[in-house]
Amino acid sequence: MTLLNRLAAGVAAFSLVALPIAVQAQDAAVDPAAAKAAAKARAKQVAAWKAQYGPGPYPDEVEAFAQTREEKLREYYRVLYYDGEHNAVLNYERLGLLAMELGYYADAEKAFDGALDRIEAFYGKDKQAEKATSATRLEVNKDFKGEPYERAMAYYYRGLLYLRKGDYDNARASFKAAEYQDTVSADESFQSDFALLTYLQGWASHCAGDGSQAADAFEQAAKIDAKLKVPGPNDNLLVLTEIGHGPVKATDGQYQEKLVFKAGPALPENGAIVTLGTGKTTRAWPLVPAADLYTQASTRGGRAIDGILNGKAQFKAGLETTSTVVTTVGSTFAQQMGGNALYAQGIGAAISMFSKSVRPSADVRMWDSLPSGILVGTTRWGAAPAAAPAAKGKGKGKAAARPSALRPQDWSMPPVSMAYRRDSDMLDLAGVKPMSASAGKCGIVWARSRSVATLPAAAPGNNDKVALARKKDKDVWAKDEAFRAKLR
Amino acid sequence: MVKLRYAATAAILGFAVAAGPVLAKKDRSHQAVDLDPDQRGVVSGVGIEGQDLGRMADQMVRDLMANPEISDRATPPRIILDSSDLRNQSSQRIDKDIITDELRGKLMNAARGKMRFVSREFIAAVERERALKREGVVDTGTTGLTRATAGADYKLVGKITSLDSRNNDTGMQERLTVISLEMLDLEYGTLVWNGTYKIRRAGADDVVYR
Repeated sequence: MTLLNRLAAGVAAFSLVALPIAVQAQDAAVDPAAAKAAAKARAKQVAAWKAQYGPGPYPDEVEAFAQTREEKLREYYRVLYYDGEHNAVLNYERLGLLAMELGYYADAEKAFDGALDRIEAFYGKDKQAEKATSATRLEVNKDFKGEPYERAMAYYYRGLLYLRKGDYDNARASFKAAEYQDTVSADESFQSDFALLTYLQGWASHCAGDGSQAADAFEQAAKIDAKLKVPGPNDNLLVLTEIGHGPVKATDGQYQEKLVFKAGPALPENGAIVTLGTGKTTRAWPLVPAADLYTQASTRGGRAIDGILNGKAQFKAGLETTSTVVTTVGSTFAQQMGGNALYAQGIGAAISMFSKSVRPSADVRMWDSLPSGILVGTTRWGAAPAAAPAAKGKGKGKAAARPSALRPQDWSMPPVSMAYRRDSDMLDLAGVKPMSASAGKCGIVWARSRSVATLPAAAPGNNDKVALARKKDKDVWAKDEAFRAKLR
Repeated sequence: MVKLRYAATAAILGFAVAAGPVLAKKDRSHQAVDLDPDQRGVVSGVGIEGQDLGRMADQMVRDLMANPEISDRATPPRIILDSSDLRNQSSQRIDKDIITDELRGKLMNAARGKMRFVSREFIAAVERERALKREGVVDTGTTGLTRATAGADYKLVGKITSLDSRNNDTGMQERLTVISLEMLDLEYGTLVWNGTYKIRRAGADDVVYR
């Protein structure tokens, strides 16, 4: 049973016992004996929690915080609150995506801001970072900041939320920052190869009315991925849908010292068709594949910490070899010399025990709710205003008058539905209800083939022992308490 | 052997006694503290930060006040100073109002009546009040009625741009942020003032986060 499961059980138990205690406390106003009994019961409960959760936070505190949040997000908020800074970026990212899917956009914005503020801040050499490099400590000791593809996706979602509100400047800033995360790739050919992010910068510029910037970005995106065609000059609706499950982190190597990425579980959908409007105005078209998250995750190249983990692994291998040599060769030599072989075996066992304490395993905490692919499309929606008349006498032979751009008041978002398919076969897969909004000149539709609501509230890859051990460090505890105070 | 144990125990005790006050002095708390908004904060990256706003506004106010076309007119010019035409083309998410609010506040204090600031952000509130006055629901106030609300002579416009670079060998990240503001003549379309503020900042994460 993981720590978080136990916490959830604790919350449930707390709910069951809270009422009788409250009743007792109410009665205690007139009965000192009952007040004493209630205080004693409370002290007993706190002592039990202290044994289970260390210094806390305890289920009553977690629950008091969670009750102030939307019911469908509470489980995620509980995890965020309990984990503190250690997994704050990861928990914020997962919470943000769930909130976005469920339509709690204010929660989603705050969550992604929480993650991005930490991604943007420089994490210096603190105790936890030192622990992550220590031979006898796991990498998972460090606060989670995520791999570049995860950081880029946090910016991507924040950018979509800005588009939803019609804040095109900050949307463009988010997509730019997302693309910047992709420049970390060791291999130059994979730097800035996340074409969708460049394309979305272009879209944000297009909506902001920055034509030349938009053209530059669209041209750049098409150079990276020829499938990404330049939107029509008067397109005002962006459609994005996400399919499948994203890349999975795993470990490889003799001592799990290598972080590797595997494609997410195979799912049937590999395409989508969006349908806008109803009746005569209905328009449907297939969306274009624009991003493959597994490619983004797996082409980053080596991490700086890989060298440290590799060093730990070599150290561990060296100790194991030494232990074997001391035990077998040393024993034989001692016996031949007429000595006691137990000494050599004892030394060998001690070295073997020490080698077991060396921990080179890579950190596999991951943002598991990401998709495997993103599809995109744009269109112009809304009745076209009258085209500007061509100049008199010079109209013939010149370019025809182009329809003018739509103003926000000229149109409204149509009903949207998404159908998923495998190649040309339609699938019986409804996906999640699309986010559909227009706050400025442009509108946005965002959908997913798979809901993130089915995932557990706690992210995979966490280490309960490390999490509990962190709480015993006063500095870390104070940092986590400050984090929780800000959340409340 | 016994002497050695005593010596070791004494050494440990001695260290503990010596280190005790030092450890006790170390501030382990992370409770909220008040920070000077013009000084660098405890959390920082390579983008625009709190301390930049004050410095930038100070520089821009000095520049603007030294411009006779704006600050030395017989009739104080009317200026719109809000974020509606301040474009963020940088890679940093930012609430642009924080820049224009800081600038407007400092400029209003420094101008001492040499400039008038026209608010368009809350024009709906003005229109509501004007309607109530004209309908006789409320009286005319102390300044009387005017034919229309104030038109503006100038508007602050500008851009925030940035250039990011990274050294993948060292993990060092660098960003040059340029905030370029201009005063646009709303009748002629000419620019009567330009001010540029640059921030160049670099930093790197600990190796475990790169």
